[in-house]
Amino acid sequence: MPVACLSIPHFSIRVALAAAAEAKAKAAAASATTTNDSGHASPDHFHYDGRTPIILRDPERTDTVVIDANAEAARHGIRPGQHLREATALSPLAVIVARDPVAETQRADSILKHLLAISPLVEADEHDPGCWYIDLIGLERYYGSLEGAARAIHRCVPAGVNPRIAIAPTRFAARVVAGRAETPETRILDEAQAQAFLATASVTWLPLDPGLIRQFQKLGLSTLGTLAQFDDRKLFARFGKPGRTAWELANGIDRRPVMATRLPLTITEAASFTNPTSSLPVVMAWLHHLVTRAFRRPDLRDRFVGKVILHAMLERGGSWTRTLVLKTPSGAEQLMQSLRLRLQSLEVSAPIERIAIILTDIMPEAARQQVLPALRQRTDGHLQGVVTQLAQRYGISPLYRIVEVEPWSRIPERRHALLVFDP
Amino acid sequence: MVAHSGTPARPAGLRSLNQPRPIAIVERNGRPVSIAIGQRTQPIVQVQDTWIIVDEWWRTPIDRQYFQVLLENGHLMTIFLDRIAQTWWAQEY
Repeated sequence: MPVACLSIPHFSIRVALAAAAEAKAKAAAASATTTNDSGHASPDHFHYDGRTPIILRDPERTDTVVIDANAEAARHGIRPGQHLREATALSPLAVIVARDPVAETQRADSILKHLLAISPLVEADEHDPGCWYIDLIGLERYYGSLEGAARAIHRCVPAGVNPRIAIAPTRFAARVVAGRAETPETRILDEAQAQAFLATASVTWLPLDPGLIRQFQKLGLSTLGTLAQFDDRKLFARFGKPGRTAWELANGIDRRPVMATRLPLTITEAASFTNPTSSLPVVMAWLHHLVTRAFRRPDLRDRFVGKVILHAMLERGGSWTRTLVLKTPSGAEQLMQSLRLRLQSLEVSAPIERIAIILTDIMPEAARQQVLPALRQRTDGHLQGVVTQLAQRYGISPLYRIVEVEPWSRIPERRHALLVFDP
Repeated sequence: MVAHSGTPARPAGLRSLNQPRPIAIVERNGRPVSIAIGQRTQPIVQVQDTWIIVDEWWRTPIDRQYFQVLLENGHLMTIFLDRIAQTWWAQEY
């Protein structure tokens, strides 16, 4: 049962650095020197593989903690979960980069899409960004050998990123081998080699509750080899099912199959702002426009959506994302109500340059209470007719409505704007 | 998966209101003295107020000196000097 594990260590840091570099290249004309908000050196001056300690923070979290730290930062004693102040005290020259969730999703989706061309069974590790499992059962002959399959996997990764690829009999063994590789490499292990490799690995690799792993360590079971030699019945008696699972994984028994990633139908609409804005009314007006447009597409005709993902690309790099799972599948109007409710206290760290709305979990509408024709509002229908006629005559609807953009702005032309009227 | 529709969401559809309009000004020592409105020139009787706005240095720098002026015909008007391009504009404030 060959399973491949593709691992890109510190994926979020790499993506954040690449996105920052891209943003810098885009804003090359801007003369302003970029410095990050902590006063530390700017991230885009550094390459990931340099010798600079790099710390990842989440710009959306109020508690400023380290999300991830590269190997150099770890050498200075910086660990995920530490307070940023503590981390910068440990390494004053550390570069702090803000996580870019939108770029992460886009790059991960792109890699997943390429991997799905190699094998129908590809699973992204939901707890470990930058890690994918690829089931290679029955594909050895197609690729000629496992080495051929590994080369095909390597081609799925963008140039410049040096991944760790491991092929082993089980997904756990493949994960440990890929995860322990200190340099970019491809390793293919048979059952005996994988077992020997696992024996020396730490129990911290077990995908189990950290509390249970701490208990193992307190009991002197610090490596998978020592755990494998332990009596499984005693582990089961003491720790229950997780104890049995730990013993099995340590012995190279992994019953977890690679689960096929479902690619649901999604509909994406996006808009770019000429003048970046942080005004909620403008963002809501554009969301309304995008939602209306999405629901006019044939794929959404007489259908409802269950989940909405919002992506906002911020000025000078960085991004913001929100996922809204709707209580009930919703049409355009209900969806806008939910968005208004959820985004009423929207606060973003920088003006928004581009906004995208991704509608997914699309399903047929179950039932809809129709309003009697006599009670239906006539205005909307009438206006809709007028707008359609004008749009047909002039190519674009010449009707606009005034929206507040930045009513507090000292620059008069930034205060109000005309938005396409689309009832 | 349905891809992005590809249709631009008409970013140009978001039109700024109250855009400044270029005007012809006769100035003396950096102060406006008359304004050309159509074929006629209106002398400025009094500069009632003046203020400076410097903003958005990180994007496209804005550096304006606004003047609220009283024209000879009794109209109040707000004009500004773009101190970067050295051009005069009229804009309601």
